[in-house]
Amino acid sequence: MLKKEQKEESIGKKFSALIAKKSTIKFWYGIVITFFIVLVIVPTLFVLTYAVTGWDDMGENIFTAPEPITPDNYHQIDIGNSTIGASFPAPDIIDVTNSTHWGLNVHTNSNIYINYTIYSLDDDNASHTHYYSNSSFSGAGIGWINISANESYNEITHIGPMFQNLTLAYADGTYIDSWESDVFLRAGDAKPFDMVIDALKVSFIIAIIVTIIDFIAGLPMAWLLVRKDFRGKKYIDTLIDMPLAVPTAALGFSTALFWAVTPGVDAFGSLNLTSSPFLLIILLHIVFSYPYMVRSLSAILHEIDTNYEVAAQTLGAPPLTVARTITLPLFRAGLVTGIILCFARSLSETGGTMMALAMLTPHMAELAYPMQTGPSLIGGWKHAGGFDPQLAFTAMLLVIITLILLVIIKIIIMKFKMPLRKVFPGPERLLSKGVFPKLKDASSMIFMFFILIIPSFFIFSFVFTSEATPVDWSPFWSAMGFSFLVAGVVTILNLIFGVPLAIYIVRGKNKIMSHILDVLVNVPLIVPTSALGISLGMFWGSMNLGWTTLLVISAHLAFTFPLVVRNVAGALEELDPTYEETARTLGARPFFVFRKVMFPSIKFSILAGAIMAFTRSLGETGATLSVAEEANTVPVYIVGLVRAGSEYYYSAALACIALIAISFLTMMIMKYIARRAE
Amino acid sequence: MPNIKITGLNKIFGDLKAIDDLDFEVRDGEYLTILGPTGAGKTTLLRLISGLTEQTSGTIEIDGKNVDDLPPEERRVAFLSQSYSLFPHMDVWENTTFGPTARGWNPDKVNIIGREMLEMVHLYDRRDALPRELSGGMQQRNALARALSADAKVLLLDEPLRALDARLRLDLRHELKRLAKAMNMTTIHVTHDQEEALTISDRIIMLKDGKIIQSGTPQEMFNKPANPFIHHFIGEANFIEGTLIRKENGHCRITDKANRSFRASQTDLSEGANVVAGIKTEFTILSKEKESDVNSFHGTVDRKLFMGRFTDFEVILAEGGMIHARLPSSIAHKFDEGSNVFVHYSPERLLVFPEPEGGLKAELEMM
Amino acid sequence: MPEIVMKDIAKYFGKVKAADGIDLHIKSGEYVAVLGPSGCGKTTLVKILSGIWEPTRGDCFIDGKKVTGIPTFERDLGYIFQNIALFPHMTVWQNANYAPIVKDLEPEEGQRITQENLQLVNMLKRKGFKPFEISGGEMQKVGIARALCSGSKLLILDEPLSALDARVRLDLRYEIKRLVKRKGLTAIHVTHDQEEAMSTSDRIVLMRAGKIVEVDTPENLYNHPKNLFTANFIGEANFIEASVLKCSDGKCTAEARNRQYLEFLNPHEKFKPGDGIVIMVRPENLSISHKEKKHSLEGRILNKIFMGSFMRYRIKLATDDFVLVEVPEADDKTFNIGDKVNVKFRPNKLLIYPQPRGGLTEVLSLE
Repeated sequence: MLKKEQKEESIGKKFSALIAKKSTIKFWYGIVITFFIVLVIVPTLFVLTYAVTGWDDMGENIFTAPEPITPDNYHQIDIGNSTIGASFPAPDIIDVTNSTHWGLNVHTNSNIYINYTIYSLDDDNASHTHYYSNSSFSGAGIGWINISANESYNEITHIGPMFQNLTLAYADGTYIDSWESDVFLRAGDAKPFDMVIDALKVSFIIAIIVTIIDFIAGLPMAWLLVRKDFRGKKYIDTLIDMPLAVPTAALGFSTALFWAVTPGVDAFGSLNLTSSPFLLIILLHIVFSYPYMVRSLSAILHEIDTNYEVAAQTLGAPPLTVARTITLPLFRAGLVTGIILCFARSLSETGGTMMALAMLTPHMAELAYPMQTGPSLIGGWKHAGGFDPQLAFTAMLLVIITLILLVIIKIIIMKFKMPLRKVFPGPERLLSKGVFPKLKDASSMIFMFFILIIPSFFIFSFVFTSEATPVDWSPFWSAMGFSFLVAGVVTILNLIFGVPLAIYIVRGKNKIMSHILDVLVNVPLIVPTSALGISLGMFWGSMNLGWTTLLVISAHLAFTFPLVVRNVAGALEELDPTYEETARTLGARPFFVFRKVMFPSIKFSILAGAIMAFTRSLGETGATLSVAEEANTVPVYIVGLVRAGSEYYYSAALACIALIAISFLTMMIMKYIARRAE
Repeated sequence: MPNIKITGLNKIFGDLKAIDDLDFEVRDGEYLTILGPTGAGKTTLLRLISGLTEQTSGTIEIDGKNVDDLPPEERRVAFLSQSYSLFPHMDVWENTTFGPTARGWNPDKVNIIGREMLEMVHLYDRRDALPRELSGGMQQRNALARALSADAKVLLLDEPLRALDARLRLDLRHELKRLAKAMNMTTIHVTHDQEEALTISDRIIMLKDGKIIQSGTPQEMFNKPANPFIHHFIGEANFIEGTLIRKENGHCRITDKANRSFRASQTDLSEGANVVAGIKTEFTILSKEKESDVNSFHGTVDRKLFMGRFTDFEVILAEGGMIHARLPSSIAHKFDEGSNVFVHYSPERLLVFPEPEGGLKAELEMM
Repeated sequence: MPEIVMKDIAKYFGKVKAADGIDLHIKSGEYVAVLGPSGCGKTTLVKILSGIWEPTRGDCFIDGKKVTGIPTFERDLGYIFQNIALFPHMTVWQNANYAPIVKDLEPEEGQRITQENLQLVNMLKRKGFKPFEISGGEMQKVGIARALCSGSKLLILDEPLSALDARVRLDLRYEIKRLVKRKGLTAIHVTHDQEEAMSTSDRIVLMRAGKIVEVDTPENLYNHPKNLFTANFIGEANFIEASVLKCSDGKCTAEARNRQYLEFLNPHEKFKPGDGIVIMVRPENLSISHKEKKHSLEGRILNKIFMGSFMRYRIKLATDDFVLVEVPEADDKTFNIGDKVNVKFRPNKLLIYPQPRGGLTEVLSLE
């Protein structure tokens, strides 16, 4: 008995001696770093190679318009300063599963209204009413109604859709013109390049506006949470994080329902305030980016020694002056983090945006939406199929501009100087007292409730007040199974490789290497996930593996990996290295030190990182859609339901709620663990 | 025989020579103090010896064996950091037995040593407490017990008393030495506190800018400082700048810039040299009447600072300049603020140094 | 010049009573030190006075005006921090100039004040530097200048020297005292360092566990403490437990352990035979000799420590008590470790206290 124990002990000793060897440790770190570079960084940035390899491709597909319009396949209707044209190739029967973009091209300067019916012909030349819709185009712009191949055509293969009974009218219903024909329609004549630029413009403008609003509204809230003590603070603190527990697809659904005019559906309490996609997307993006801003700002506020503020106050500076001259300038690092996180999140978001756009203009094909963001354009093209060059180009541009812009943001904030010398003692003193601080606090609260909390959970109002429709749960469960599989595998891989990488970044002896890795880890976090998906698809696609599941897993791995590394690295930076050093001098080998000293102190951060990675994977739409459109995760399934029409909204809402419940559960576990850790 | 031998040790961080070509030895069982101002390289030196930092060049031998390639856990050198670094999630017992457990000793042996050490620092009754539940002094004792039980031969203490209240420090520093001696440990204790160094050490090494500027017993350091800086750092001193006029039997004569003449202690410097002479404030004598013609000057008491056992006087001399004197409080009542006094330097206590490069003021800069 | 009155100040954090019924009156132009071990509530007191914390109970008055509820920035005081808290993004000049700017002084006037105060602490030469470019001592000097620039006549120093090197601390504390007196400020100086408190202040407020223990001048607290805790905290002290055997003519004989006897003075017949007492005597008031027997107890020298100008002996008495004896270095030659000596307790140097309830250790505890 004793002998056996001793033997085990000696094996253990040999093992720990072996893994403690410098060369062995180096070997392990080598594997981890290689994993990170090859499986995360290279695939994420692979799309940049398109700038070189795709040059000819771009000339052909991006910078030139599709086929020229010829009189005999083009029908044009003049309506004053607008034209509506239907351009189409030779009337022929076309395989819909291959050529999938068909469209009605519209140029207009006024609001018009289009009614159309689409028929499909089956093999027996019998016609089936397949698609009926009306769309409105408001203001000047180019757009097209796009009919895409999707599952619903499966039963009538080899037959293309056609337009008939095309009617045009002004938005008020005044008739303009109509025509009937048996024609196939083809996508319009806009240059893909223009579309990309338009969409990216929208994306960046929205991201900038959202970030600014987040900052203005988030700063007082962060202040309130860190520097003030009041009853119910704990609950406010939890409420802030709530939107993070709701997958963005569900958020898009909920927010659109609350704020916007959503044709074909209504819910009790819906405000029906706007039909503007621009406004709606901004409102939506604030909901899920605001918590990031508040969290980043409060994290840094925590770190700033209150003595600086107290010192300024003892010198006679009223609180507002203190905030402006002392706290804000000390704040920069946190500001950079907050701004970059919000900016990147807004830029990256796909699922919620697609949901909201779909609900504003139901039954309209994505590419015909009056407004596109970068990710939604990627989603649309991906969905339409056959747009590989366009996708690659968009993703590449998105990555490049994002990286450049973020570097610029960082430089601007670090260089920007607050006007220290110029002080306005009178007004600042006045604003620091009496009713003003209360007003500020109250408006932060109101903002949080009306912009964040109510829109996030408005989906419940819909479910409770609208008429129940029969729900087919089986596709939901199969999607759920797939989602869990992906999230599970991703989380495990993250732990295996993310924790050692975090240790290397914080404690590594090679400072230059650590620093480079530290910067690289953030890259997948700021690259928009849909661009990341395209990039990954190109990278692995070039190797022709063709495994959808693996593709999805590797995409999810890329954008969740930084979450684990960041969390663990953050905890390690807080952990005084003298603990580990002391343990070493007391005779403990590195692995023993990790197990007994380091791990107990960071285990909660590891767990928090794992849970964050898991929920993010569960809620992600953009990366999944863009890497493999056929992959059926829950958010993709929900987006599909909403796109299929308002009759599926009820099912979509229930699926959303199921997803919310699961995310919520994990978040509560995380909170509980965090509290225990304290 | 855990002696330590350090030869040609260098540590360079970027442009900074943190440790600049050190050579010294620590004898078996010796209690050595490394004294120096902040930034002198004291902590870096401890980290090099313990293997937590790798030296740029030079060798470290412990017990006659070169340890340059050994990782910290194989050097058997216990390091006690300023903040103690008690593992926050372990109780007093687990902290104390960390070393033996890490080395994989059998549980009986671990229990024996843990108990022995905790009883020695009077913490056995608190063995289930977590570090945060202990007072500062108890934490320090717990950390010490942990270091002593780690089967180390050398104990490295990095400002072990800094985090404690001033009054508590006085009690604990003797406790610290007692325990180190009881365990027959070779100890290197780093501090910036000259009084602590003076009272606790067998030997002091004075470190400045990564270099050793003097080493010796406390008496040697106090009574025969190698330069004006040490003279002023270990106890305060009054200085005069002047020229060495003449060497006499057992004395020398110095004239300062105001043409005052001083008799000072013996020196090897040659006549005509520019010199600095300094005397500890403890040996600067005040009297009501002029007691001697040598080194005696008239002045007025500007300020009295009571410090308990001693009272510090600031005296403004009639010829200009201010000097400090430290008198036992029992006689301090004789001299009120504003009263006329005579200041007297005894020649054998007035030590002579060559004029420092860069001037006296720069030499004495403490901050 | 401000006069400060605190009436029944209390501050509770949950169950912890950081301050519990503090009454204090500080005269205009007075320099008061608030002294006590960690966690005694001394910092709480000044935080309440400066309005950083609101008291649970009680009121502060500055110049007769009740300040409870008035925010910090309208209280008009200068505050110096333990961790210095110079604004890291501003230069030395901008730091000092902060108060004049936020107080909306004329720019010329503000610059004059800033210039004057930076000059006063000798930091004008560093005006273009950022805080991280200068040493700790220099940073605190700038901290002082910054507080002075607020133009307030009330200066609060919250452990201003704790973060600094021991030697720098010595120099700076004199500088602070000089400045405060020259500018005629009222100062409240919080510290755990008894020597710092004694050497800087006119009066010391000694605190323990949220309550004031004793308030008096440094000399009185050192020489005639009314309380055993005071005796131990302010300077080192020897304690011997005994009981009164007999009394006559204003003198008593006390019996210590092991039938050892000591005589002490009992001028007001405060003690009667049978009383349990504690005898306190400072180390410098004891003397040792080989011969003299009167008023002496036998003992053996355990340890001998060089303290600069004096030697300190640790002696085990025949009563089994341990005492410290300090002897000027000049008298030192003849005593060695292991020697049997007589320790002389002059009756007029002894202070006698009634035996405390709860035991001596409890009363003396520093933590």
